[in-house]
Amino acid sequence: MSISTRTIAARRQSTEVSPTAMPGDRTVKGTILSLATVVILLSAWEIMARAKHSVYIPPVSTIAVTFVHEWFSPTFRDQGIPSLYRMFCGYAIAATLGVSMGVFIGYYRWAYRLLDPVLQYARATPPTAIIPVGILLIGIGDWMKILVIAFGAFWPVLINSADGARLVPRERLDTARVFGLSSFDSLIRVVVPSALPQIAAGLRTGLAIAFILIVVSEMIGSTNGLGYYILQAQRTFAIPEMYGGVVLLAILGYCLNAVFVLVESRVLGWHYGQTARTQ
Amino acid sequence: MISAEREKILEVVALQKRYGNGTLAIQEITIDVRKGEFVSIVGPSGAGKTTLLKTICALLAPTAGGVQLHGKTISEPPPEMILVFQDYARSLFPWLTVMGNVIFPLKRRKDIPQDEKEGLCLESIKAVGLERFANYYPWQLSGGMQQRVAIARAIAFRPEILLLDEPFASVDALTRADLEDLTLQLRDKYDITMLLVTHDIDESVYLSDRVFVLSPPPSVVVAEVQIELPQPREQVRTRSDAHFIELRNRIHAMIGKPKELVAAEEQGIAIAATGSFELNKTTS
Repeated sequence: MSISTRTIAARRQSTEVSPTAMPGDRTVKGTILSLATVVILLSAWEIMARAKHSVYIPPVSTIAVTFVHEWFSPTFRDQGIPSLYRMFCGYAIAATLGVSMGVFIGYYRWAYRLLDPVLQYARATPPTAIIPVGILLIGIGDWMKILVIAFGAFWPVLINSADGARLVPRERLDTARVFGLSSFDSLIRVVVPSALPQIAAGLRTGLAIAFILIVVSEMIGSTNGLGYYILQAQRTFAIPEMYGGVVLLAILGYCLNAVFVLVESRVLGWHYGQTARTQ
Repeated sequence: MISAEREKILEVVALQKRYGNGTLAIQEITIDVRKGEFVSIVGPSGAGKTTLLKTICALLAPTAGGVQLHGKTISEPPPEMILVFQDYARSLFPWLTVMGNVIFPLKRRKDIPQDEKEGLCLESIKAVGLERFANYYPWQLSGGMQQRVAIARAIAFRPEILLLDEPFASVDALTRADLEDLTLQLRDKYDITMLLVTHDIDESVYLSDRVFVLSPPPSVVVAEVQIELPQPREQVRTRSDAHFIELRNRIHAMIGKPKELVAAEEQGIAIAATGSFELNKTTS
């Protein structure tokens, strides 16, 4: 496990400093290089789109103008906010239940053995597959999306939390017992902090899944939201609007991840310090 | 030397431990520890030494026999007895600083006033020589320093008995000597009784007042050796003492052998007690 968390940490460092820079390259030169890549790609798009005059591939400048016009307007409140609201509700449910149940079943072996077959089955189900089930049972309201997101994001959080709690070194638990901590005290004061790196990994995967599910569930059954907006734009040939919606999703995804990384580096500073040491 | 009149605070009586898979790790072990004494249990690798210590402090339940602390049989880890593990990297909490680790066990203790806890911890951290590192994380420190943190954490809890499970096995030789002397100092300073398990014969002789020698598994005690070396012990002087060398050779000859053979050999030494020390060597 330590090897896999280490590689995650390494990958994290290499990918999130800057998407195009070399791993660990934090220099001014690296920043300029990655900016240059973006500028070149966008310019190439602009030139090719203007040369081709295709309705389906509008120039970047057109998309940008539409983007500003659409999203700095009540459209964001009508389409963006509902999506974010559903996502946060669903994710909060998944995180709360996933972490608490995961830590519990990881700590108490009997609970793990009891639930293992269910977990193996549920984790193998692609989360998008349950959207039709959700629509059938709950309809196409907010709660369908919230529950679909909660369901999809729940499994990676649960499984990672359970693994983290299961793999706490024996000596650490024995130390807690020697000092007279009760079983519950050990769970809260030793198991949970020990499992935090894996819990964070699960929460991160869960966040990515929640993001996918909000878009897909709104495309399949909704009357508003970003997924709905993008699909409607495509069906009504509002092509720049469609691209604008995709760009907005990308920006939102990037911001969510950035917030996550910021919180994680605060809470798990000790973990990254330690793994950097032992590498 | 600790006088035989001192109270026996810990008694391990006919302790047997069989693992869940049926393997007999400890056949029958009876030992006692007197107040203020430094006792070592020395045995070959795989003799179930860690299992023995864990059973003594009730982390594991014995298959037969029992452990008595002040004459009372224990079934849960008692607060008077604290175990220091060999692997400090696993027993320390990496998300807490040195201070955080040391104060951790005291947090829920009601018998110590809240405002005294920090001072108590600082004193323990100082006693192991880490006062400048109280705000460091354990993983920022060297191995020897991390084991000092583990010892400080145990000391701050003010136990009567410290159980040491090969605590110096994962550090280099110089650090090891430092930690051995630190342990002796702490014993004197805080009047803590020490029970050490180790596979290092020299270490057991250097530190102890009494040494129990274990057979290979399933373990039994093959001999109990009184270590009558002058106090305080000093690394160079004590280790070059002729009596030290004699004791270590005697234990060396016993270790890893069946009980009957050791008994016979020990008798041979007793007969030739006035004779040459070489006899012992030839029998081994």
